[in-house]
Amino acid sequence: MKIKSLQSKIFILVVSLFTAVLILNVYSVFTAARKQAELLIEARLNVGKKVVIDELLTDQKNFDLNVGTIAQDWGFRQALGQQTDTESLINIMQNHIQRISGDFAFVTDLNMEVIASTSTIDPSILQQLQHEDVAPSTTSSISLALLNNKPFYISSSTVKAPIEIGYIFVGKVLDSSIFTRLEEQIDLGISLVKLKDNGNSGVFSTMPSLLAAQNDNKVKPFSSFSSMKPSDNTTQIVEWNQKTYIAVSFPLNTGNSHSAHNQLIMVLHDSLSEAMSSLNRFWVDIVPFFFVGILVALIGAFVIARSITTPVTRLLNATRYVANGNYSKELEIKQSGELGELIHEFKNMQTAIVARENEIKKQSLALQENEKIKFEAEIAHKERELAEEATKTKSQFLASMSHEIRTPLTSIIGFSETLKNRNIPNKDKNSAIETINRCGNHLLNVINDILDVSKIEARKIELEVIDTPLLPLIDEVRQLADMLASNKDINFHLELQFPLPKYIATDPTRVKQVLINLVSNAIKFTESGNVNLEISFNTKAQTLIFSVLDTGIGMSSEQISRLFSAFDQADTSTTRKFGGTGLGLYICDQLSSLLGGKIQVTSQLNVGSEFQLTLPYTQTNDVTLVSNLSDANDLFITQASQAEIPTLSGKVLYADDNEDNRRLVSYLIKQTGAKAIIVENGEQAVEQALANEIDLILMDMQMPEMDGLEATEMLKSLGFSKPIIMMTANIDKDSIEQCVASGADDHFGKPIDTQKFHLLLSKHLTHDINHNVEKLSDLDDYDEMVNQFLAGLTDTLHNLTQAHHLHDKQTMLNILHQIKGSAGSFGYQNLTNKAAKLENEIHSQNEENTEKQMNYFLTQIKQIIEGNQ
Amino acid sequence: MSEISVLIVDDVSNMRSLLASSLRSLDITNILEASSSLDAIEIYQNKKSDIIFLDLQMPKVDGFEALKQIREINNNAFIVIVSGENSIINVKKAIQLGANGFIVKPYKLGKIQEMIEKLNAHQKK
Repeated sequence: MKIKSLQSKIFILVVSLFTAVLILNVYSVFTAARKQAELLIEARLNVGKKVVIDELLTDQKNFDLNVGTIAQDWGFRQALGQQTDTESLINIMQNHIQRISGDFAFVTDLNMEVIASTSTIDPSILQQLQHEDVAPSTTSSISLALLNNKPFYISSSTVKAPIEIGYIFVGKVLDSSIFTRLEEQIDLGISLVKLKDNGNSGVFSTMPSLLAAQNDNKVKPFSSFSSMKPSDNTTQIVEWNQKTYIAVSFPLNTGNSHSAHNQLIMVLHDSLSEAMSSLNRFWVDIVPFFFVGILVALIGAFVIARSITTPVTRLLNATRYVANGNYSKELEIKQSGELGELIHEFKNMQTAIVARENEIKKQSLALQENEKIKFEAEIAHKERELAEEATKTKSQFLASMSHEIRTPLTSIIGFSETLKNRNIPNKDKNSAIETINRCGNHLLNVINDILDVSKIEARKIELEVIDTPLLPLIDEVRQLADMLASNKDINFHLELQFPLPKYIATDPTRVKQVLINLVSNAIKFTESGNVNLEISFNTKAQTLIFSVLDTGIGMSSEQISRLFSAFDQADTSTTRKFGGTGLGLYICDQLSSLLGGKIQVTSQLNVGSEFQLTLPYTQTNDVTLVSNLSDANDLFITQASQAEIPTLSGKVLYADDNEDNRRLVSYLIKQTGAKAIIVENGEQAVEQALANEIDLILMDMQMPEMDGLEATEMLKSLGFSKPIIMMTANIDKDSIEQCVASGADDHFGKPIDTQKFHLLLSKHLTHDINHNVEKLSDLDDYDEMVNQFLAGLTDTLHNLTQAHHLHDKQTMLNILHQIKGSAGSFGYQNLTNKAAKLENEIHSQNEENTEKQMNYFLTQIKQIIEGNQ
Repeated sequence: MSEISVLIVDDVSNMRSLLASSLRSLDITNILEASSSLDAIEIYQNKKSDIIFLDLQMPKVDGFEALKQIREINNNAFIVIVSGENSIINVKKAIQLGANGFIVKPYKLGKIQEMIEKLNAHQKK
């Protein structure tokens, strides 16, 4: 609001200034023009004066000459000499003055007695002439006689025959025609004024308007001339009849010039008003410019006002910011001059305020520091308390250890006692032996833990660092984890992120101990879901990273903080629920430090935990890197699983559109000695199932042409009685319900786990001890299959990239589904997991996440392809 | 359970007698034979056999037509297609028309036995 008023003030100021300047300008232009007009008129008046005088003089001279000529005329002289012949004398004079346009003439004798006069002459004029001094003049100035208030040239000449016999006088009135001619010649008004007793008594003029006016206003108009001195050359401004005139006046000689009361002056005048009237037209011309000027002034005023108020507004805003305590708002200095200076000063002020604020903060920090010291003292106190607590915990631990040891011992002693009795039934005996065995093992674990702890506490643990093949070590962990997991309906996955070093220099026993501890813990605290062991090698940091992820009960941050202390399990109730001494993680932590590594925990209550063991990579003589699963498989100790391939007979029909899976399943079936019929879709499956003696059908759920569900439905409706197992990468509730609805007997999750698959086969096919298993050398080599899978991956990558570019969701989903169902079977569990995740992302329409994960996924595939070239 | 009555429909007599002997080996003796669809429909109208083994490719009126008409006579009839042509189109059509089984020639005795067992289950319902 204030700014607005400032703006309008500036606006009004600028406009009024402009208007004032404009008016002054116009006024000065007007005055100058008037002055100019006056000067112009004055000049013209002076010129006119000269012209008039010259004209009149010339006229007079001519007239004099003519009169002289008359005087020389013989006839005239004779007539004058005879004096008697007045008649003829008048006649001659009459003729003469007619010729020279005179008005009257008379002759006198040498005594100035009038002898004869023309009849046209008024006797009163003659009287006046006689009265006046009409002696012939020889002056070169204009000489007029006023007769009956009319101006006359009176010219006289001596008549000589040859002696002087008399004088001739000729008069000629200055009529209006002379004035008209002169007026036209000089373009000025001419008035002849007779001054009498310092006043005007008569005016002779050719200007009708003046004459008309004079009639109305007899004396007044030229009264101002009365003050003029006859010889005065200067001009005068005369107000007359509501008009302004500029006039110049000059005296004319009269016959009796000595008598002031009868003086004639000539006045030349021009109307200033008329000259100025052209200036009025100038006004008409100037008005548009005036308005344009006003407009320009308005715009200019607006611009100027804005240029002032804008920085002021900014400054005002900045002050508001500062008022609200925000000093970080920087002002841009665009303005120069005072406003720029003001803004600059404001900035300085801002800086000063910030500085002061910082000072205050510093002081408050100092205050806090004081507080901190107090706080630290408090902490020290708390620590003492904690130490006391620890002692208490230790004694509690001892109590619980003695409990842990005594409980299994009691069982062992008790049950072995019962075994002494030979009469107990076999059933009870077996149960007793089993219990003793279990308790013995448990006791062993407890004692091992205690021994480890005591060694660690006493710093007597010694590492035995040797060149250790990494993968067999991991495999041992896996075997144990598989076993533990299978007892609990938990999926255990091992994910190797290649490349991994083939050998590391470490203490294998201790590494294994830590890993087994972490994995078995994870399995122990997970009711259902997955436990993953991910192993990767950070080539930059030269560290091996073992991550154990579970979907277990998780921990609160408070629980995590107590996790690695020796005698404190997360919760005493957990000890009761899950068993164990609570020493495991403490031992792990201590061992990993001894090995030069560390354990980190991230966990979320009821979601799961991640334990990450990081070990430094100490290289051995062999620095080979294992870069793919095929090589890794060679290094794994896999005899155990191979030994478990069942020997079966029967015919299995397998339908899958994925070539890699077809090859793998075919291989796995043939491994057992059973026969395999492999088809690519549901239609072929139906045809083959009807035409052959099939013992078991394995059907992929999603296939082109006809999917597994439809084929199963058809077969079941035609009375097909052998089991049909639906193979699917989707193990969600919906998919399983669909399986059941189609009439399928069971479902089997993809990717295919070899052992589980063999278990499935042996469940549905006849065991045949005598059957000769086909030599596996005749079959596709597993490595070969992996290679073919990898070869196909290039196409997959291409197709997926294209689908991704085209935002073709359906194709992306199809490809991802294929990867999900097959990659894991060839050792790329990681790809299977990522594909499953991506599928979910695409379904959940989370574009941003999809984009990110898809790019990562594509890169991963690319790396696998490149890693295997 | 009373003895099962069977109607074998096939234009080739060899086929009929082969199937009949197979059935006899399963102790089924109440067997009727028809060499054409029209015969089969007429016989079924009178006798209402428990199970019909129906060939698909027969001159004039094919097995599908017979299947359709027999279904019209008795919606609960137990009809098994016996055909050398196991293309998915035929299988689909057979299922659409309500075939209870589909045996592909050449067949093993086990398939016939399976169908008889299936019939027993069907009748129990």
